Amino acid sequence: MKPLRIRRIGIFLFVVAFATISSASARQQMKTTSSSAARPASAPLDPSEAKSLGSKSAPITIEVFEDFQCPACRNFYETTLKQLIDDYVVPGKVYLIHRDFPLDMHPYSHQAARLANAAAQLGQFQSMERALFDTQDQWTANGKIEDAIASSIPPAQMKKIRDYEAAHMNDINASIEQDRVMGVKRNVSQTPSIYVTSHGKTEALPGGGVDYKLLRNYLDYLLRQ
Amino acid sequence: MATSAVVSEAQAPARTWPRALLVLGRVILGAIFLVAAYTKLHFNGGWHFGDYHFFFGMAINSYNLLPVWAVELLARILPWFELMLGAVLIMGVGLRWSGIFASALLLVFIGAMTRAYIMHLEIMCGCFGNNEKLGPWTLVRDSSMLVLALAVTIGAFLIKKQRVAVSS
Repeated sequence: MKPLRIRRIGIFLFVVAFATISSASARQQMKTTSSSAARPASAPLDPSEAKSLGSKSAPITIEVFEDFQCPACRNFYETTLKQLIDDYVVPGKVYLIHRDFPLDMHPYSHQAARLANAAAQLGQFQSMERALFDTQDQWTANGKIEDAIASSIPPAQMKKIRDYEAAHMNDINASIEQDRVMGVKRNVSQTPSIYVTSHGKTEALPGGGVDYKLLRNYLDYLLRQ
Repeated sequence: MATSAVVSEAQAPARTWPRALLVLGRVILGAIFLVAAYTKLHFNGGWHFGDYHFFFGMAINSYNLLPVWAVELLARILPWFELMLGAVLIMGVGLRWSGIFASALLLVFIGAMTRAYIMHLEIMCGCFGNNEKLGPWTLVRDSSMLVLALAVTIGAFLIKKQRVAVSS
């Protein structure tokens, strides 16, 4: 074999290998949770993206309109969402988006939503959501949210979240309001309200939360389509 | 002769009105069941023949009354049962039995709804579509339907009894 031909084959193989590795790496990147880690602090994340989990290219998108002070939302989070994240979001089957829908009947839900939005911009939405729901009973009683979640969010991190919230209060309020208006347009009247989008079609699930087994059956049905 | 003519004229409307009311009652009740079935199969802007049971199952499950397997089974068959019951009521076939089934079904629904309401469960009724909140209005409405179903059932039995008496 001539040396020139060998060199050409070598270049060809290198290009093919590079393209394969690049596309695999891109796919892997798509699968990871949206995070602000790679972004400069000055460029805020898209609020929806910051409050989402999973791959945008997942075949199913689930939007959940939630109020952090709503007991049904906590129940839905504890009994359904946690399992959904493990079984469907992490494997890349579902893209999960949190939408804020603070209800006027709950005096501390706006405050909780602001903290969650600030945490989201710092890439801490999941831990904040978990902390808020896990300690809902405590802070609902007295409104002292930061005291209640102190065991879950380290003080240094909490300070960053508080500082971000203070510095970007208007943006955060606008983001919450944007979600709320979206909910009103979709006739959301209670929380949690769940919307499932698959094959370009969005379906509203019965309001008030859904049992995990029933939701899993529905998602498996959608994935089989 | 004149006396008997007066008696038969007075008796005629007495026999016609109950029957007409019964027909009206069963058609209204049948139509209500047809609408209930329709809203469980057609929602969110389209037909859901393939996946209606997932949505309806979620609504049934929120009552916290049945195990998941029973919820899934009920969600699959109930819309079709309502459809059949509605059609049978409108046609007037086996009216006494269809009246009993409709009354029993509504009694079960109202029992479950009342329990959920007393327990302050903020859930969907699941009566007409999957996104109708359970509340006093849904209880009053379903109770009115139960009154109608009972009236149709009693009417069907009375007319049958009358027929038997006339033929014997």
